[in-house]
Amino acid sequence: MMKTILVVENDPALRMLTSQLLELEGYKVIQAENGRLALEAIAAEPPDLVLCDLLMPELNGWEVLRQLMQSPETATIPLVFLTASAAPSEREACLSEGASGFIIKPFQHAELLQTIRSLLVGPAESQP
Amino acid sequence: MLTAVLRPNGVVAEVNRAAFESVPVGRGAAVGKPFWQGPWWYDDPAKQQEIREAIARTAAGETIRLITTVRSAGNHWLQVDLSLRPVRDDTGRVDWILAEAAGGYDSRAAQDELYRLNRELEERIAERTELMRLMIESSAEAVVTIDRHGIIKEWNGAAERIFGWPRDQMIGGRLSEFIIPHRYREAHEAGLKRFLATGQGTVLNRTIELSALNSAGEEFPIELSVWPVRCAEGYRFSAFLRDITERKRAMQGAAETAERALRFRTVLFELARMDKTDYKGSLLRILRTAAYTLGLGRMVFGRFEEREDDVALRPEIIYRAESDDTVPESELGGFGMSGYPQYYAAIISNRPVVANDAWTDPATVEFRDHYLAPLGITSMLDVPVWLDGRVVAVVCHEHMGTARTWTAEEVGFALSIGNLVALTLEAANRTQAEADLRQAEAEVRKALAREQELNELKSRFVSMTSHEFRTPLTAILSSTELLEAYGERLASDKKAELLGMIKTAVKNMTRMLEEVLFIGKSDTGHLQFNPQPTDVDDFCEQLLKEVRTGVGREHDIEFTATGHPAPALVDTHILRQIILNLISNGVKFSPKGSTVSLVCTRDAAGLVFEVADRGVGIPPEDRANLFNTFHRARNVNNIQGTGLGLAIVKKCIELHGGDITYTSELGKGTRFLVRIPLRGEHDENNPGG
Repeated sequence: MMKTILVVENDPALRMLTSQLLELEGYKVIQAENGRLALEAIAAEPPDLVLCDLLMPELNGWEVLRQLMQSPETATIPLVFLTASAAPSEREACLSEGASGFIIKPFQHAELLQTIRSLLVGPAESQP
Repeated sequence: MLTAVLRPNGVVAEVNRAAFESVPVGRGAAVGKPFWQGPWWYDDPAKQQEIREAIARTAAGETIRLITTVRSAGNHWLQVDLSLRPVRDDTGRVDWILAEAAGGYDSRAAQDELYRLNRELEERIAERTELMRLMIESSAEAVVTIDRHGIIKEWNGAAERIFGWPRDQMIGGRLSEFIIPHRYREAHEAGLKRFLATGQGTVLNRTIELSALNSAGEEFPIELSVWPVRCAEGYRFSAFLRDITERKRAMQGAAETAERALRFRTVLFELARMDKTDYKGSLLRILRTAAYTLGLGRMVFGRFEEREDDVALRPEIIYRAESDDTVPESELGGFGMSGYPQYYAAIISNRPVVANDAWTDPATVEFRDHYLAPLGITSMLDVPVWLDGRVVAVVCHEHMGTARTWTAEEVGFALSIGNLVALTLEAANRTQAEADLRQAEAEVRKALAREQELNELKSRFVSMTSHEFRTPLTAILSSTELLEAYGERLASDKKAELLGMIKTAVKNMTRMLEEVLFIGKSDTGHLQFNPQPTDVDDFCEQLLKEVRTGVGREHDIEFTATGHPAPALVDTHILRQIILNLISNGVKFSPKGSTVSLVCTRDAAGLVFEVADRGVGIPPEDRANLFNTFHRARNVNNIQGTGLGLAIVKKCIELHGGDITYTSELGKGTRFLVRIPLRGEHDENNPGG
């Protein structure tokens, strides 16, 4: 079964590029342009993994993470931050808060794909 | 023994036979001859002369008694009592002289002794009496004795001197009428009577002070001791009197000196306690107080200043007592101390100059002609002011009028005044030093703050660029990797889109770079200002067209122009930055689809641009720093931007000599108002700013 990844990114270009990459790699991609829309999307259809920017309008990445951690159904969904915030302390804080990954932009595709693969159990390929 | 009758001329008329018992001659040797040539005094010319003189006096009417010696048989000397008596006739004329000699005791030695003792006793008594008289006479104290009626019995030389009444005028007079002031006379009389009646007296046997009168009618203070002396007729009263005018004056003088010393101390204490932070006020108060306390006409406070080849005494304050004011600054001159070597030598070695007669005192005489004389200063008391180990100034106490003699207390007072002035100077220095220190501290703090600000700016710049550039860099990297990894699988329009993204990202980064460079240039003053006549409406139209296809794609950009008939003198590059940045902000910070409007009008002063949006608004806390470089309001952290936009706008407006204001409401929107003054379109040589 195809894994679903929710891409939460404010910048339309980056959102498009990341989604394009993941689709080319065989994932199903749901896009959300801010935290609020992300939570709505998760409520509607929980993804297998969330790829989330930190700084966004309306609801930022932190909040998204916290909300997810609060309810047991969503707490198990791995959340990877994909952010331009480069402070190392930020990385520590996010990981201790419950984030599953922390990737700094600009990122090598290989890094991102490797992280996702290790967090998702099971093949990325769809079953025939 | 001898009896003789003599004529007035001394010739013996008759003499008795017994007279010749002790002499070897008979009557015939004496009768008819002068008595003094008689055989009794043969070889003693001195005695003969004595008798002769005595007879002459008797002939004049005197009764004489002589003690004399006569020679007797056997060469004895006999002492006889010779009396010579005149015998008058009816008319009173001396007719005869009766001479009688009696005695004739032979106990010569015993007689001599008795005679001698008698003489001695009399001499001693006379001596004693004389001594007493001399003592009383020479006594400095008046010794006066009165009887029980108050009549003066004794009055010595001192009494004469003290009261001015001569003795012969006083003896027998009533004491109270002469020396007792009117108001005491009754009491004096009453006291006398009381004592005589009762034996009690308040004045007696004690030393008391009273007022007395002298012959000139002046009252003066005396000290007296009176005691009663018993005598034959009852009582006499003896008094020792002392004129204590001088003593009282000395005591008064001492009291006055003590009172003056106390006043000096009180004044100095008050001045010492005074708050000295008001430098000029304190100095003036010290000078005024010193002038008032010592009764001076002028006070001068002067400082020593180093000139090229001399030290000058420059008066800083001159206080005039009569008008209670100070000489205006413009009238203050200076004194080169090389012209006053003695004065300077004294003062600079921390000694006062005490000039009772300033015109002749060697230390001050040089001041006479052009300072002391014109101002009428006759006495000077100048004291040094000692500060930080040396004499820095002088306080001059100047007396006008009759020259005065400075007392030791006054000199001490003046020296204290000098010390108080030194304290005031020290307080002023301290205040100044404290102020300097505070200022230095403030400057250090300011420098630290600036450094901190710069550091913050730097870190903000670093974090801004790092953050802002990462997004376009990510776009480039991702696009590139996609093209590399999946190039064949992608449709050509997709490929074109990716390539476009790379270009856009590069454009974004370039723009941000330019913003940074722009700010850098404006900070260092390298921005050019080049006003050219411009059709502003047209300019705005073109600019907005660019915006609509660029950043303003998803917004509604409105433009309203109220028609500018004539071109305006503006620098289009600068104007472009202003409007572009404001519109960009409006677009960036407001929701998609909302309107961002530009209105361009013109008033008497110049151009007015208004840019309004319906965006997030500016929080009150950020308004102070809104136009600061790299400042980003707290509600825009998720919106891409360098934080330089408004800083650039501000710099540009400043360059054009305009100003910018805004109104904003959180969640509703923001409206910026920019005014650009214009100086006259035809004046191309006038740059703005």
